Amino acid sequence: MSGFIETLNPGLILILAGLIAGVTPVQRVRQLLGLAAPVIGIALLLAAPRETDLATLSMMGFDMVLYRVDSLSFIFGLAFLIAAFINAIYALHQDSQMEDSMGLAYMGAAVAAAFCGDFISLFVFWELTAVTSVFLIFKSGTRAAYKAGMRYLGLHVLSGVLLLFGAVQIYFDTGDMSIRALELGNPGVLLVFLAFGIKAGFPFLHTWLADAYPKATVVGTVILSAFTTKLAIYALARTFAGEQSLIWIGAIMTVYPVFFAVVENDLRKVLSFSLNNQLGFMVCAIGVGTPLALNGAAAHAFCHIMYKSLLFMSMGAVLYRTGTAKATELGGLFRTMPWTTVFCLIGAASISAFPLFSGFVSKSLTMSAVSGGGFLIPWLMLLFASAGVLEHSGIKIPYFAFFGHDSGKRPREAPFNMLVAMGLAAFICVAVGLPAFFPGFGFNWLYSILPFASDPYTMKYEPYTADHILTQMQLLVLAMFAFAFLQRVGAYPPEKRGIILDTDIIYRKAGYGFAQWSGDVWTKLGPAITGIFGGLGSRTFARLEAAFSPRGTLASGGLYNGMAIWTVVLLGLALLIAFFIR
Amino acid sequence: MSDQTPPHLSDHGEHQLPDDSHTTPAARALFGWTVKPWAGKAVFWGLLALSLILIGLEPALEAMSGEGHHFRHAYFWIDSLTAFHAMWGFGAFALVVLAGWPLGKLLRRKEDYYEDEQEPAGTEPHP
Repeated sequence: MSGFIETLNPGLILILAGLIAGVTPVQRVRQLLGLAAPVIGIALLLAAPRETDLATLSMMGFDMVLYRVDSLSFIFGLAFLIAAFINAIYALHQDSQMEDSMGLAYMGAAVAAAFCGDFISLFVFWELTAVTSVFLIFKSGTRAAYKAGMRYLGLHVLSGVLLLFGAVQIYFDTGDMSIRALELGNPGVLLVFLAFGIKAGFPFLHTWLADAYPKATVVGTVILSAFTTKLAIYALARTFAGEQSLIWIGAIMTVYPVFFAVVENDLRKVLSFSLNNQLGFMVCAIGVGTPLALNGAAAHAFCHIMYKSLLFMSMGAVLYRTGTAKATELGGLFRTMPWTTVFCLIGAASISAFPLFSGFVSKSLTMSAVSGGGFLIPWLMLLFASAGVLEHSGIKIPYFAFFGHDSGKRPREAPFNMLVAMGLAAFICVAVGLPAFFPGFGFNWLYSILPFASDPYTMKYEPYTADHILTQMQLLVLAMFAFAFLQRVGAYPPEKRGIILDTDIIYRKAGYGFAQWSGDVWTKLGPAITGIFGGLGSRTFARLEAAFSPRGTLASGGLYNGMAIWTVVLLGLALLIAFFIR
Repeated sequence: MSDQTPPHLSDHGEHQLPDDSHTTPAARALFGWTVKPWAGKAVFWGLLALSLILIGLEPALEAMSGEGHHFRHAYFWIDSLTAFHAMWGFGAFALVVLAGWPLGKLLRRKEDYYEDEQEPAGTEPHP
């Protein structure tokens, strides 16, 4: 029995729970499934032996590895499962069969994908994350959510198709389907890179993120924020570690969302831009590719899943209670939602990387790896983005929702289950951020589960040096002072209603317009072309029939000798030509 | 309220103090200070003081680390400058915020810009 249990991918437990939840109308049963599945998953993961293929399957000549745990997949899988547990608590107040079911299946697919050892099974779970998660967006029930969901689905299915094409190409080139380090150059590898890039939110492939996430349900956005993009980060770390172009892609990813976030009114959309910006740090670290940098990416992913969930949960609670997450409609909510405010501030401090919070101990690894590698410009960009994160996630989110201009709204505190979920996430944010007062405590625990925990640089890496603390505090406090200063002189731009254009205008306006225009043209041109070709066709047919049909010109008059002679001559000529040019 | 004089017709409520009758005791204890009239000034001057202390601390710690030793571990010429992180943080933050003015003008559109897609998906409030 223990042998069978060891072969069970924890993701499959969640997917199974999702399937059962889909046909279970009883809310209590679904709640129990949602809470129990991640706990069982964590137990299975902790018991699983490392670095060995635990479940394999041979199908159509492919050897598939369905379950394989190593130190890289372990930390991502663990973070996913913890997030799944917290999400289950966060969703306890609501009775939605579809959300429970699709949420569980989606989380399970992401966990399962992280433990796959070959591209085919990765593809299967990769697509499963797309088709299940889109229901969390549709469930909002608005037209905007529906259309954003369709765009989301389109891009993610495209990502899956690219992954499959790339994987098949790689298989034909190398005969090896296993997920391993790849080098750009081969067209198949490029397709896989693009597939990962769509899900990781590379520049210009990122629009689905800020488009779809803010339109999902209160619970849906929290679930979405943790899995899809981090799965892509995991896949990039697995296959493209040390790919230098990622340094620049990552650095650009950290910088540009900052500018969108500053003018955006919808606070959940601000958080989506912020999510994109945080992914940039991880992508950049993967590009550096040293063990220290990959540790940084993994640590950042772990902490990021926790604090980003926490921030989305707090904004979800605000949306749930007030019906809006727009900065222009909010303000002064601390009066009646003090605990949500406290948890939001903990999330804000973590993402801004204040000392004693999780972001500080994880981002330090990345920053040290980038600067240690001598990448000056990317390092300056990351440092710039760190101040930008403080602006939109550290200050703007809590300030405009809970403080600032009083909106007059006096909603009740968030439901108790939401507070418990936020409290748990906040606890993790603080617990992994604390100094290692004794071995295994605080950041020491986080560093001990990193992919290259025995890397000598990481072993002796100490985030809490006077140098680190002072420079980080200089960066943050002076940035906060800039906020206070700009507010005081009235230079801080006021929040305004409206939407912010992004590069998706290319297909949402120009592309859509082009499609409409072509449609219009076609409705006119189509019949005309049909008419022309139809007319030509029928005339040609009439001519041919007139010549060749039994009653046609050629059939009349019968054979004559000249015709037979000419046929013999032509056949002989053809034979001769065929003989000589053979 | 009935014993008070009715508000002047030109008073649209913007000069009234926020209604704190629903504020919970926990909120009052934790964040009550943020709505005090002195809060804005206190935050401004407090942050300014803290900024100056953090900047001043750097040369002080450098001097204390002794002959031949360096308190800072700089990787590039630029981050070996005194208070580089402070300047970069202030500058980056100010640039991002000030960029909000032209960017807002350039990129902000009405909420129904993508015709039938009013953003965001609204939900029923559960107050």
